[in-house]
Amino acid sequence: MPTKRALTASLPAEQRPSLRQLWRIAAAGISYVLFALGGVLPAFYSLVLSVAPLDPAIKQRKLRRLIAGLCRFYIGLMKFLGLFSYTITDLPAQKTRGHVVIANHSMLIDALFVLGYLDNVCCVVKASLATNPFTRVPVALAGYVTNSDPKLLETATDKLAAGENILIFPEGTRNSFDLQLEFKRGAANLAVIAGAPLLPVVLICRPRALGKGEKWYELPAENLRITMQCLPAVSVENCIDTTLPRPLQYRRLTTHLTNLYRDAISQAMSR
Amino acid sequence: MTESSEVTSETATDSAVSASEAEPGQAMSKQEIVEKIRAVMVDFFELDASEISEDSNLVEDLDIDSIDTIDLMIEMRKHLDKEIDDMALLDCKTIGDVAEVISKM
Repeated sequence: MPTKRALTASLPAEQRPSLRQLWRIAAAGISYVLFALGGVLPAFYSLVLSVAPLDPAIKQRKLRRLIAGLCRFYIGLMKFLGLFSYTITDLPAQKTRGHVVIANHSMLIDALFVLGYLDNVCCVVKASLATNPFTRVPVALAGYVTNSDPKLLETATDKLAAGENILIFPEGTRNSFDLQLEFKRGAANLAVIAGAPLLPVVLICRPRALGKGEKWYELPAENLRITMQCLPAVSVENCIDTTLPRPLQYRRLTTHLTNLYRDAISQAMSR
Repeated sequence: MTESSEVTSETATDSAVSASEAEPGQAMSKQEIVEKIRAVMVDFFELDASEISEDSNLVEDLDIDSIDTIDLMIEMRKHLDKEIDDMALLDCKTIGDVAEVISKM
């Protein structure tokens, strides 16, 4: 195995990573490999469930619980490996039902926190995951919806009415800086049409890491501190005029949510 | 909504109403339909009437997505009192395209 000196000899002294930094890169690599390997578990469990004589709703709950457990396992593993520390605050006291869960999206592992610590969350996943041979069965059995589904809104509305929570990252993709917050209207569309409350989740990583365009191994020298905070649920009628035409409601609610996040993140950053 | 945009909204709606009332009982021209669409869009999407022309691209110029298009069509049905096929409108790129499709229905 090459020594640290051999790995970094070509770099100027001030750019040479410390041993700790090299370990963090290795730890990140280990985490990603285990994450990829661990993906087999839901696939295998799905195959078992698919032949089990159980109600599809029960299969869905069982698989989602496994996915939530796996997410918490990965979070714990990465903490154990020294990649970050984390704090989770203000989780709802009771199980959340029928909420549009929204979260800002600054880092690659945001979804792990939401899926790991909130109950019965349905993801909107990329269409490619519904056709990938490894993820097709788990995606179907977990009842996740694809972003290419022409009936996405109807399906999501039905799921909310049935008590499931739908996770949407209103920014659509990872942001480039914390206060960028260019929310698209999808979450507001769904909340208005379904008449569902929203549960805002604020995720912050200090210093920023695993952001848009950053490679998994491009980690800052400092320890990452991740916080996940659930804000109080937002009911649509309490923050906008619901007698307005729906397109105006979508826009007003999106603006309201953007401001809510701007305030929450600004406050968190000033602490 | 600002005072000036409210004034613009009323002006656009009035203009559309007079356009539709100009020929009672007759099929509306494409231009009249464009005026109707403009009036609804001012009220529904908080757009300035001056921003909306026949060539305006729904997505790029006006930030109108597929959900908005459905709401627009529901409202247009009420205004025009005719059936409008949502699916036929999903391929429309501009206001002119929407007016063209509606005028043929």
